[in-house]
Amino acid sequence: MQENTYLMQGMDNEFRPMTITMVISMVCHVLLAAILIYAPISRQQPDFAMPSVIHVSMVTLAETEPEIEAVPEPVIPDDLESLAVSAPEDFPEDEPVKPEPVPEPEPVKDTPDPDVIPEPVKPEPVKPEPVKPEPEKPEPVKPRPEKTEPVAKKIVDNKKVVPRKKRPRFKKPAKIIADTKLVKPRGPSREEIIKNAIANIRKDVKAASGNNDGLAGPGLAGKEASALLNVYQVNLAVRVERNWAFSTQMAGDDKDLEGIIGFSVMPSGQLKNIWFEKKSGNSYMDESIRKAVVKSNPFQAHPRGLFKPHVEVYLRYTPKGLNK
Amino acid sequence: MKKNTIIITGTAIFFFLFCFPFFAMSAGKNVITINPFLRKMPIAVPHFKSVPDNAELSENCAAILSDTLEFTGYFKILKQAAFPDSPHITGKIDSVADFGQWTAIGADYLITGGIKTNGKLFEMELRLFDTVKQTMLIGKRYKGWTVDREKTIRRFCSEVIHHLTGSWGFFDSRIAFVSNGTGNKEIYTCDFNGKSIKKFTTHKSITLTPSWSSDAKWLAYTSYAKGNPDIYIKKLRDKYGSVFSRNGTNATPAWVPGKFMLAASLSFSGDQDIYLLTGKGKLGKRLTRKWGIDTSPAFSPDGTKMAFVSSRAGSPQIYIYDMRSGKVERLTFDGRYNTQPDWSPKGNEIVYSALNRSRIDICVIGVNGRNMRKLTRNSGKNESPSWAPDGSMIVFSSNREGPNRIYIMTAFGTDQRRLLVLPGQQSSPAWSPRLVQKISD
Amino acid sequence: MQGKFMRSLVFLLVIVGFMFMTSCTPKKIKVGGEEQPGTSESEIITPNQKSSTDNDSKDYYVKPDTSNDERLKAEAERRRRKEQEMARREGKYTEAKEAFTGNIIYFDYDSAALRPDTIALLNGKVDFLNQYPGEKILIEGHCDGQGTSEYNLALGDRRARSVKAFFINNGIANARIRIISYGEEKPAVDGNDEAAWSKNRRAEFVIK
Repeated sequence: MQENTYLMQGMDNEFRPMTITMVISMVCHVLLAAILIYAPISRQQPDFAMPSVIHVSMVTLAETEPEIEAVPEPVIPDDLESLAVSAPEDFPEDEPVKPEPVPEPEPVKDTPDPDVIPEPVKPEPVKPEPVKPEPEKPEPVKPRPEKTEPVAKKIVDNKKVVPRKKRPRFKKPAKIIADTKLVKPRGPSREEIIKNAIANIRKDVKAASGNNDGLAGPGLAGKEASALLNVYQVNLAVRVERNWAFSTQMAGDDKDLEGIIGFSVMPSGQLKNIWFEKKSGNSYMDESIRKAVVKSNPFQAHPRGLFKPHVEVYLRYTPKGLNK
Repeated sequence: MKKNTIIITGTAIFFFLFCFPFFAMSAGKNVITINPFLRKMPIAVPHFKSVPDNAELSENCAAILSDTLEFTGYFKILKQAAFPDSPHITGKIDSVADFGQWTAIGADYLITGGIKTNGKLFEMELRLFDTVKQTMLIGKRYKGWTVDREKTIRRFCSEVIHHLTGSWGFFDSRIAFVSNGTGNKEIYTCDFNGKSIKKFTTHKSITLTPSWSSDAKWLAYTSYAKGNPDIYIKKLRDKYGSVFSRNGTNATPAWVPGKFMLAASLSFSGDQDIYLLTGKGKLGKRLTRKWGIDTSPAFSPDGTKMAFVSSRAGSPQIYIYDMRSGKVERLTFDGRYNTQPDWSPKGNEIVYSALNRSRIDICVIGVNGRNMRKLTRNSGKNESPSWAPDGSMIVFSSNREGPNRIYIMTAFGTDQRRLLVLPGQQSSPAWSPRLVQKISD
Repeated sequence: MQGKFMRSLVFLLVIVGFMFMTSCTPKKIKVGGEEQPGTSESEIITPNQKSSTDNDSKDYYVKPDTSNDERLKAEAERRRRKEQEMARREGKYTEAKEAFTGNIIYFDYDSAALRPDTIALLNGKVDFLNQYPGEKILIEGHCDGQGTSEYNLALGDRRARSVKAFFINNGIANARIRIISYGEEKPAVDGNDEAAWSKNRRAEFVIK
């Protein structure tokens, strides 16, 4: 909200530049709108069978080996690390979260959020550009096992992204994880999966940006910001997955069960909202995934450089890969 | 100032029109696929609070409770060491101060217990909490003799299973099996968890294929006690009963649900066919007539259908006989040797053993012949599957570790483990119905 | 399956036909053979050697009385030869009995059909049963450990019954034959390979 007051003050003092900025902004927006409307690829259906699907499934990543030799140094790592380590300090946990206030899973689809309105000025430089990676995403984002191979060793650092050492909260589940019999015992550790996922995203970003290596700057370039968001979303997803306890025995043997749950996370990492995009039809499974999201709260705070009132994550949850 | 406001509003509208859709699209549309990480329900069972204070008893009660729940395969019992503060320290069992502490260690559920001992009597309070929803799901108080402590804990476990799964579990059931530890094959019984083993027969001969009546009061089996394979029908309590003997092989008795009647494979006619017998050992109606082996009857829970094994098509396969119409339909088509059917308590599936290249595996198939799934793999010979009374588990015999022994697993083939260790070899396990038909509050 | 069954049926018929052609003559022999050992049988339960020494001692007794009578001597000689003949016959019986119980009939996997290579042995058993019509027998059906025990119990029953059917078809009275199945409960050889299994898929014979 600081930005708001600043903006208001600016009205009086520097009205002219303000207007100019606004005009530029509008032009940008109109351009953007035009792109959105006319670019055929961006005509996205409300359905989630979408181009930009990230699989963090162990099944797909099971065969990938993390030891592979380094590939051209990715540009993003610094920010990614800060995302994990420094972010929680920026947003101290002030609100003790009770899972109860979470509204019942009524689809609260994309309701315009009042918080969003005052933002226009700030994210300005960021906004227009992320559009580009969108249509390009479809192919690159999918972490096909083969693709994952050239993951840089450097990424080991990103392990920190998942378990937040600052709080004991996360340590314990990790322990449980260690001594539970997994049905997919051959799978790699979660860290590796995340690593792979992140590496994929990075690769995509690299691919998207071509040879233009000098991306980094004080205000993150669009692609980078989008990558940052993706990595953050994957981290949230992995945290939920780790907390997802689901008894096959309870649900029956229907491996085709599948649903999509959405939730939003505030900058502090607090859970804001949960809703079901698509219920699986098995109430036990739906309940179990909801529990997993609630148990994962609070999440890690938004990474530095990601300016969003909240981040939404959609998870396709399925017991596929069980028992086989 | 007005101008400013207009401009600001205009910007806001613009933002809305152009920016928000973009936001929603770019930020929200990544759908990430996840799989369950833990295939069980994580539950914490801290040591009980005991009055007078008795650390050993506190721990022991919690251990019995944990073991009983863990046995079902539904639960992952969390390690005591990780617990924030146990009720036996805080003294509070009726409420939970901070559920977050329990969800933080991964628990979805928490059970607190308190036991007050007074001479030979005890009073026990047990509660099941949902740590995520932060509510109490079950609260029970029991009184009884100290000797019945374990029974009481099992009873609460039945409540827990019932609350979470809708069925009453199998904690009050037993398993009959054959063991040759004495040098002869005799029938034994034990609790669902392999404990309190009792020898049932002393024929000093070959004794095979025990079968429980649906009220769990009778056992029928085949024995060579008099030289010929005959069918013995005996009451569990006093071992009183009758013998059915005819020329040839009298084998594989199976009780008709809800009736004092059995089906068995008899060969006195020269062909192995399935007949009905009364509980008193009188020959009844002949059910199958085809030339070839007909054996191993197993009834659907409602008694309207009977699965059996027949070689009528050349190799042993499982068929279903309709008790009303007498029509027979073939169930299994995969493989050349499918035997030992047992009908699931829910009625929708049949478990059996399939021989393939000198390996035998346990398989489950829908009664419609679809959705066949193999539960054991690459583990020697796995035979004689039998459902738990709630259909959540299966007991079977296996030679995966060398000698033939009794194993159990969930109905989905997970958590396979040995049930018990006895001298000699064990085979032909049969899981009883629940001994107590209903648990009242 | 059907074809296999038909083939073995034809085979059986041919053999039965054979038996009819030959059975008239042997039957006479049998009648003769039946009378002589019929009485001796009960005496000669004791081992041969012992009976022969008995004969010797008898000779000693007789000798002093009939030292002069050559006719008596010749008669004794004849009697002795007869005894020896009977002993020889008795030895033949034990031999036949051993052959009857010792020759095991083997089967193919998951099959109760008589194998062609076992027919000669089975015919020998029929001969024995014809030669000693007083004998009652028990046929035991056994299985290898490959299958499951319930089905094997039935399969063993079936194997025993197909041997019994062969005997009955060859004129042996139904009342003389009992069957029992032991399924896989009494393996002849322990082991988990074809060598052991092939030895366990069998019918054994007991004279009662």
